[in-house]
Amino acid sequence: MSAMLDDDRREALRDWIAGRLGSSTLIIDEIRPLSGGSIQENWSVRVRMDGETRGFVLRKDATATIASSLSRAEEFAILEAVHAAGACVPEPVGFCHDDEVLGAPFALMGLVEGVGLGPRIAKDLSLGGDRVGLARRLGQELARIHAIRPPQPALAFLGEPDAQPALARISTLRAKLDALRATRPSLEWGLRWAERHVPRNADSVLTHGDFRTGNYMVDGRGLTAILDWEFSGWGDPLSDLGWFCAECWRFGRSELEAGGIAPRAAFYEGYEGHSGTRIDDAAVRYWEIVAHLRWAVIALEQGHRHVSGAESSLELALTGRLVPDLERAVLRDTSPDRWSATHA
Amino acid sequence: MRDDPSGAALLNAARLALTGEVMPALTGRARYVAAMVANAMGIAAREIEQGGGAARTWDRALATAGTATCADLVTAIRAGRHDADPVLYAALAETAAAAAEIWKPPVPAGGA
Repeated sequence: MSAMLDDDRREALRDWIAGRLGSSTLIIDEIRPLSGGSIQENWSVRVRMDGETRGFVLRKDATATIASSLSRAEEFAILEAVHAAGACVPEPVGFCHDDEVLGAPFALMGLVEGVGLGPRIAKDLSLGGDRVGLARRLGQELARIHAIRPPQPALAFLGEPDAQPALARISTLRAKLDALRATRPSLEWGLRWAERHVPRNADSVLTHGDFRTGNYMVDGRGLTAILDWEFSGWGDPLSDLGWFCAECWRFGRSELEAGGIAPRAAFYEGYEGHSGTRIDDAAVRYWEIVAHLRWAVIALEQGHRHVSGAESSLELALTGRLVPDLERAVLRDTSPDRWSATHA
Repeated sequence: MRDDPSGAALLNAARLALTGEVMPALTGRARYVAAMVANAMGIAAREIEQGGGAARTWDRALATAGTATCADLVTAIRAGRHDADPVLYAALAETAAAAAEIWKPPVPAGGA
């Protein structure tokens, strides 16, 4: 950003951070781009104030945004809520609504060190500390997030919880398939199965929406931060557990059912211990099937971004091609003997 | 009349040259991109070789369901006309397996 950030903007950013932290002598030492998702632009900002150096991450919307994700301001409000609830997340420092400072609204958060790349965490056992302990900790963290329940005035933008989160998800996925003009009978088979086998509703809670290996960071000792809150909203708590355990997010370590890092039991144990509730395992497995359906639809959307010419990218193109593998997983779990005789 | 080596054979040779001779010298982002390129070349080569068979699995699935197009089959499944239908299920499983094997060749037992 240094190149894109003229002196006026840099000065405006300095003034804004200085005001936020109440330090008039604050100096910006460095601003540099971080590799980020396609939805956000992330920058590392290092400042000096009162003889001490502090690191922050500045997060701003990139040009290509996904319609279903939250705005940066909403995401920041979620971060404030889960931080207040004691979840292991970057410290929410402030949100700037004023376009004059950087040309677009942005969030400023405390910098957290760690490795977040899913495949690397799954393979490199020097990361994350004891893996059973890490899975247990992630279960506890998820329970802490799920302790936030509607209504929450600060999260009014999330709207009312769906009465039937599973049916709402199925209808969203069908609408996305239709919007893409994608005819995928195997996905439709899975969606129809999911429609007919909805588990008993759990009470709505704040769900992360993308809680999986690859969206948290670890260092050599353990968890350092849970990231990527742009898909959070009211939902069924077990949808987060199913997304975390789904085979598509085990990064080749399919025998380690808790996110490719540990046995499922450790993750459940952490969650149950912190929440004081018993996990409905069959319902989690239902949500794992829905996870494969959801990831398949997202993969189709990503492939479509390349095919439509909206964003030429080998990574997006390849993602589009992994759909049949997900369809195979969906079919494996929805064979005719797994359909109940009566309508759910 | 087709010239040899075929397009698929050329892609396979190019992929092996990339993974065997170029990639070991690369690090970081360049290595990651090269791995994606090799992956894409493998998919394209398998599609040339196996695409016909995969297309025939679709013809069989549609014939099984008694529908003319994929869109009709989608409508029928959503309407519940194939709930737990073992014949359609077997046909769909065949289409998914054929397409998934183009995406990634089957791993020999114990080789994961």
